[in-house]
Amino acid sequence: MITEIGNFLLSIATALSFCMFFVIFTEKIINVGSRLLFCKLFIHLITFLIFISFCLLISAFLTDNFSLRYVANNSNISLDTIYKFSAVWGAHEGSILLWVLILSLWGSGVALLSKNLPKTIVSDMLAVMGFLLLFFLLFILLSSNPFDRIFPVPLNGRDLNPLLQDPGLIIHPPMLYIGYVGTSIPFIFAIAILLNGKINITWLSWLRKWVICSWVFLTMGISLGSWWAYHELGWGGWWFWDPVENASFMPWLSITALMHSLIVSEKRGIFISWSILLAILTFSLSLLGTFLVRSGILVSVHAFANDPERGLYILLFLTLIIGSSLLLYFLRSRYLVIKDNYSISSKELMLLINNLFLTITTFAILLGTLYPLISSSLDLGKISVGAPYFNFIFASMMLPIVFLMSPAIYSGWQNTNYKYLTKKLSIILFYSIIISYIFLNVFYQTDIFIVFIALSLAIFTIFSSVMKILQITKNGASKNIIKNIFLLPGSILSNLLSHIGIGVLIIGITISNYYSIQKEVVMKKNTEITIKDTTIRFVNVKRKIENNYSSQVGIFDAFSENNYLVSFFPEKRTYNIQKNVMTEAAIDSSFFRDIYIALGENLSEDSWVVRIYYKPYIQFLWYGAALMILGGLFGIFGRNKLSQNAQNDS
Amino acid sequence: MIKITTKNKSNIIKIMIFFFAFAGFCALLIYALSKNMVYFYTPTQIINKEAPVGSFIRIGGMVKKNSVIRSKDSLKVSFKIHDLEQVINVSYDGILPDLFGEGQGVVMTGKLLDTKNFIADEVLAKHDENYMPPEVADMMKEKNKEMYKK
Repeated sequence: MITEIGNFLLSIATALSFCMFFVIFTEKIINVGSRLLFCKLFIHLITFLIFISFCLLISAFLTDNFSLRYVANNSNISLDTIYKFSAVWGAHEGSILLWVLILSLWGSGVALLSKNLPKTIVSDMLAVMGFLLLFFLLFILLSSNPFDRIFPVPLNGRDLNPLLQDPGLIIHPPMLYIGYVGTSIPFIFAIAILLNGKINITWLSWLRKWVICSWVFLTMGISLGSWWAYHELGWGGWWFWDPVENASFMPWLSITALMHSLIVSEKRGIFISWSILLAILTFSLSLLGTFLVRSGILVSVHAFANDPERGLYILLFLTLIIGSSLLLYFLRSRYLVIKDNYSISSKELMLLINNLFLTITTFAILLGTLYPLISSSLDLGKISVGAPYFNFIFASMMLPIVFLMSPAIYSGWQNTNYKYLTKKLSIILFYSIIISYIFLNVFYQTDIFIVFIALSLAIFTIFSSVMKILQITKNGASKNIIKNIFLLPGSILSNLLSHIGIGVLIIGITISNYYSIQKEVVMKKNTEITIKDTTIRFVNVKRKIENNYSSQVGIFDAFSENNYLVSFFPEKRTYNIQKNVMTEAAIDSSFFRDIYIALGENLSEDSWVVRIYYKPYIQFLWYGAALMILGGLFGIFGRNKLSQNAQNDS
Repeated sequence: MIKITTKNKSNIIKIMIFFFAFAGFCALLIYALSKNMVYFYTPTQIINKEAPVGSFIRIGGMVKKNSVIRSKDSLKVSFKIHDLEQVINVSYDGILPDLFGEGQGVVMTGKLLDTKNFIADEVLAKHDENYMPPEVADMMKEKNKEMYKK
C-alpha cells in the first residue's frame, strides 16, 4: 500500500513541477499576476506532496516495514529508534528524497518571502525551480525510488551502515543538504535575471540574505561532518581531503566568494555579471558534488551507491544545466550593467582579490579532485593526488587572503586613508607577531616558519576585528559598550564575527596540526604511559552487549601529577548483522586540549594496541566554526543599516 | 594603428599583471600536482619492473592466507599480498585498520624497496565486509578474464 501511495504522490509532484516549469513559456498568453499565482500554488503543492511522501518513508522505517527494499537494506528491528529515523537519509534513495524535499522547501520559501521582487522575476525563478524539481523527481522515480518493493519480504533488515550510527550523522546530512541545495536560490535568481535582462540593486540585497542563509547551513554541515569524522573514524583526523569532502568544500568556497562579491555589487553597483556567473558556478559545483557522491565513481567513506546508470543521469543533467546556463550568460550578461565607468581601488580591490583567490583555490581543488578520475578514464595510469597537494595549495592561497582581511575591514569604499590604515595596522601586526613568537617559544620551544606566519596572521585578524568593534562601539549611541555591540548593524557584526571565527579556526588548525603528540603502542593491562603531562593507565577491558552490537570496552584512567583526572572508555564494536568492526574513540575535551584514546587490535589475552593522541587547541576548530555561523546569523537576522541610521538621527 | 594613451597603458599593465599572475599560478599548480601524484601499481607490474624502485607508490592486492606475521612487543607486522599471479612482501609499522584480514583486499601507500619488497606507510581496508577497493576490484576482474582465456 505504502508503495502505491508514495509513487502516486511523487508522480503527481513530478507532473506539477512540469507544469510549473511550463509557466515560463506562457509569457505571451497569461498575464504576470496569474503566472506568479500559478507558480506559487504549484510550489506549495509540490512541497506538500513530497513532504507527505517523506513522512510515509519515515513511518515505514519506524514501523519496520521491510516490504520496501530501501527499508530492508538500511534498517533493522533492533536498531535504536533515533537511528531508524536517521536511516531514512542513510543511503542513496532516501537522501535524494530528502534532497528534493529541501529543494521544494527552499522554493516555497522563495514563494513566501519575495515581496520585494518584481512578479516577473519571481515567477521565472519558480519556473526554473520547477525544472530542477522535475529532474530530481524523475531521477527518483526512474532510478532511485525509495518506495520500490522487495519480494519475498525479509523478516529482518540488513541494518544501517554502522559508521552512520552516530549522533553526528543524524543532523550532518540534512544540514549539508540544506546548504548544498540552498545554492539553487542564487542559481534560479541568476537565470531569471538573465532571461529578463535587467537588474536592480535592491534585488541583490534580497539575494544576499538567501546566499548567507545557505552559507550558514553549508558551514554547519561541513563542520558537523568534520566533527563526526574526528569522533567516529578513529584516526584522530578531522579533514582528509577525501573527494567527497572536497565536493562539499568547493561549493562552500565559491559561495563564500559570491557572498563577498554581492557586497560589492550591492554597495557599488559593479561586479554584477561576475556575481551572476559565480551564482551559476556555485550551483554547478553543488551538482557536481552530488554527481561525485552519488555515482559511486569515488573511493570514499561516503560513496554508498555503485550504480553507473545513476551517475550517467546526473552527469547528463549537469552538462545540460552548466551548458545552457553558461550559454545564456554569454548571450545576456552584457545587459547587466548598472555602472559603466568605475575605478577599482580600496575595499573593492581587496574584495576583488578575495574573489580571485577563492576562485583559484576552488579551481585547484577541483583539479586535484577530478584529475585522478580523468587520468584513469583516459588510461593514463591510476593516480591519486595526496593530501600534501591540497595542503600546499590551500595554505599558499589562504594566507594572503587572511592577511588582507584586516586592511579590508579598515578600508572604505572608493577612497581609503592609507596613511592612517598603515599606521594603525602596522602597530596591530607588530604586536601580533610578537605575541605569536613568544607563544610558540614559551609553549612549544620551536618556531616552524609556516606555523609562525599562520599564527601571526590569525592573531592579526582577531585583534584588528576586535579593535574595530571597540572603535565603532565607543562612538555609538549608548554609553554602555556592551549595549552598543548589540546595536551594531548586522552587516558589520557578521563581518567582524565571521572573520574572528576564521582567525580562531586557523589557530586551531595550525597548532593541532603541528603540535599534536601521537602514540601508537602495545599496552598490557595495569601499565602506564605518559603523554605530555598526563599519565594514562590501562585498567581493563570489559565486554558489553547491546541491542545490535557487542563491544569490548577499554577502561583507562588519566592522572595528572597523581591526581585522578578522568576515565576513558574507548570501544571496539562488532555489529551483529553486517559483522563490521568499528572503533569508537574516547575523547576528553577541555578548552586547550583533547586527549583521544582508541583501541587497536587485541594482540593477546591482556595486551592491546592502543592509539593515544594529545591534540592541543583542537577545540578551536569548533569555536571558530561556531563564530562563523553566528556571524552568518547576524548577517541574516541582524539589524539593518537603515534602522540604525534612523536611530542615530532621532 | 592603436594609439597608446595613458588609459590604454594602464589597462595594458593591468592585463600584463593579470597574465603573469595567472601564469605563475598555473606553474605553481602543475608543480604541486606533479610533486604529489601517486601512481598505482599491481604486484604483477612491480615484478615486471614497471614501477620505479625507491619511489613512493600505491599498491593493492589481496592479503595472502597465513602470511601475516606480527611482532610480539611492537606494532611491526609483515604480510604478503598477491593478485593471483605475483606476490609482494609488505612490512608495516603501525595500527592496521579494523577490516584488515587475510583474504581481504587492501590498498597501501608507501615506498618500493626493490621489485619484491614494499614498506607501507598507510594501509587502507574499508569498513564493509563486501567492499573491495576499486583498484583491486578492477585488477582482479582483468586477471580473472586473462585466466579464463588461458
